[in-house]
Amino acid sequence: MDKWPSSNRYSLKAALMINYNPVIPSLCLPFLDLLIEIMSIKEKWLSAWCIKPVGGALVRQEPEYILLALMGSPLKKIMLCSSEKEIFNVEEQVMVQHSVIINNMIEDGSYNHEESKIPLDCVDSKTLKKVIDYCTHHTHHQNDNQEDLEAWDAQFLNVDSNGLYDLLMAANYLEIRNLLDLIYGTIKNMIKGKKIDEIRRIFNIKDHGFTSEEEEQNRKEYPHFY
Amino acid sequence: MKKAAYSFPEEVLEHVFSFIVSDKDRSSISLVCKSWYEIERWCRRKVFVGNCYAVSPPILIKRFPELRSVTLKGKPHFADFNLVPEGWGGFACPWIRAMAGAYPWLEEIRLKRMVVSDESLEIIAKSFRNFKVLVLSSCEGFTTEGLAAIAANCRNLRELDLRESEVEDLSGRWLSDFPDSYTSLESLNISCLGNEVNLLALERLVSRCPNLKTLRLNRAVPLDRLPNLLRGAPQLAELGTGAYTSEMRPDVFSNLAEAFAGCKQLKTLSGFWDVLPSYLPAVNPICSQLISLNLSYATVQSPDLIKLVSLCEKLQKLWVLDYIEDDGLEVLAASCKDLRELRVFPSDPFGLEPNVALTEQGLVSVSEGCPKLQSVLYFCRQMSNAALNTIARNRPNLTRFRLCIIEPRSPDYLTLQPLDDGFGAIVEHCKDLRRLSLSGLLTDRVFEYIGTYGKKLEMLSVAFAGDSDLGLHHVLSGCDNLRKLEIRDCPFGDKALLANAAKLETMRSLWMSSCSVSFGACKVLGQKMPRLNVEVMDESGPPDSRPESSPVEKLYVYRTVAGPRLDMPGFVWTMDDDSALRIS
Repeated sequence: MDKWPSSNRYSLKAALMINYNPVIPSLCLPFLDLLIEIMSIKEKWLSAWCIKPVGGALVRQEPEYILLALMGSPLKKIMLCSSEKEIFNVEEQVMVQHSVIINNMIEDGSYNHEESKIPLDCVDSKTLKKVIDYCTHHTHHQNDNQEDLEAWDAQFLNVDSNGLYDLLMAANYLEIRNLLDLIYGTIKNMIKGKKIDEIRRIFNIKDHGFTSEEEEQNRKEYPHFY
Repeated sequence: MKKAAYSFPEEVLEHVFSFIVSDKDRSSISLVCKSWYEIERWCRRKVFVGNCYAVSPPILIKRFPELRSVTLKGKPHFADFNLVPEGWGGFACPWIRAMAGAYPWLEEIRLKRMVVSDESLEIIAKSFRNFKVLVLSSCEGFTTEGLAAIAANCRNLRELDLRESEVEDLSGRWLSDFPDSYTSLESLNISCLGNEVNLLALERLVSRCPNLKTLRLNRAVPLDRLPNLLRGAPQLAELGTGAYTSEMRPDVFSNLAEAFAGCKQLKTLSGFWDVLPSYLPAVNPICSQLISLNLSYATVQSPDLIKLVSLCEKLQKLWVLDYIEDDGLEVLAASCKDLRELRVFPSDPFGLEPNVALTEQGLVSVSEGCPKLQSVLYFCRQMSNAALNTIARNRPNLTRFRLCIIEPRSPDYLTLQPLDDGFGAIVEHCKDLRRLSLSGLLTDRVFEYIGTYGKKLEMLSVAFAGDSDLGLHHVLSGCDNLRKLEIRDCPFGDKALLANAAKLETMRSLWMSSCSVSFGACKVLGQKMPRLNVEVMDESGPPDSRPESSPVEKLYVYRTVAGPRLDMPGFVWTMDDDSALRIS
């Protein structure tokens, strides 16, 4: 699937949208032949999908469902609902690839494509949009070179620490491992090698909690840390 | 979901902190705010205590309840030059006893310049079930019996490193105390042991430990046993040979060469006692893969050294005797472009006349030819300001520069001027210089340069230099990052010390011996600065038996949160309110 050129994918999408009429599946059949040619799928593998026993008879599967199954339903969308009740439509494949929580929900069948939306009460719209941005970019650009991806990530995380906090909470809740690692790395860099006054400013720590004697002694003993 | 002043939850911070391991950064974290201090202390696993008297075992344990790795340093650095009398301190026992009770899961203990008893080793052997690493660097006070306890009981031991320790070697039998089922050894350094170890036990141990990467033998391991050992551990990365001499027989040579060739991952070599030059080429098969070579015991002449060194194109670290001479260093500069560290030791430091053709030129060649050179320790008999200037301009990336001109107070041999300008050039151009040792004829001016330019300097060693207190004042007031200052035989006295008393609280320690600091000034310093221990050492009798103005023999000042120490020998006094009263 990865090697399939995107131009073919889009034309298929167009074909499906036009043909997604259960009444005239036969229009898909010639397209299906073309598809077989393009994808060089072995006959026996395809026939396993095309023919299945239903009620003692052998029935041919609806072509568009075969195609969807073969493509792993990349265009199927799911609905995510933020704490502010805003709905976001996202490609299922994108979220399933990144979020362990959403992947589990889809897999165990608790999500029904027709009606359900996944409520994410801990994530506000602004943050959810950013999370979706991250996952979408990393799915569509997974074959980009490392430097480009890192540059994009750096730009993506160019937020204030409140925003970073919200992203961290969301990534943690949705169990998006690579986003979590990225954020932890960024937080680490906000601390490592920085002067203490700067760290306090970045993390918005207004009251350090030491007594004035303690603070004074610390500054005396470690002057170059401040 | 706006927060007025959000804070990351504890688990998040703890997780982030686990990626931050350097001591400096951990200290930083604990100073940011009280809640970070608390989180940090619970998840700290590794601690480095640069001066074992700066803190006490109970204080350490109270603050860091979950340590897995502890490093402690005891005696001051000048102990290496026999300036610290026997019995001064640095006893490991109270630490080990306390840790045995508090840290049952302790995995690593690293000690440097401390006195370790067999009893301590036995406690280690019995108390820590997951004990993995024991490094005793320049330690003393224990025997091979203590090692036997470690060998017999530490099932998970990975590293046993006795580098440069003084061990009472009662018998080589201790090595056999490693049980036959023990296979987890990764690093063994017994190079300091005097007697023969049980060679059969050693061979069996080496061949049954598949992860053994470092093996440093002692002098008593004969050369003809080396091939067998190497064949038992072809995965070795670091090897220290034993005595490198034998009857010259062709089969011994070819056996050895073959064995070396079989060690495809060998990158570090050391040992080479009693070298028979005709055996040196046996290491040729692996020269091209070597990154570190320690020939500081190899008493071979320049031509043999040149032949060896010219094959080591990947060499990053070379320790060698001055037999290498200027010619050899020139070849080094031409062949080893990746060299990062060079140490040249004197073969005959007490001789009155130079016995080798090693001058400042050798160092100049290396500074020209080796662009990555960062760390230098160089013993020689002559130096010039011009050479130092050239070196400084060639290598502004130097971070450690220790020059030891053997005769104290030697001037620039060309101009007969002090070497102030030369060292001044070093500190001015090498902006990342962290460690500097001075020698030669030096006035207060060199200290002015150091105070002005040595902003990143952390450790300074001074001997037979300066004219007055101004020298000391420049250093204490100018070097912002100074942590350790050690001075001997300089005319530095009370004024500079007392004027910069507050600075001493920002440093780890100050050592001054055979200087002009008076007993009275030490008392004042001790009373004025409660968070410093001001220790006066005098082997000729209590300092108050002489007038207050007479200079103390040795002074050791260090910051501490543990108060005056209680284990001082009779020749050490702490200056504080109580003791000042006690003595007078």
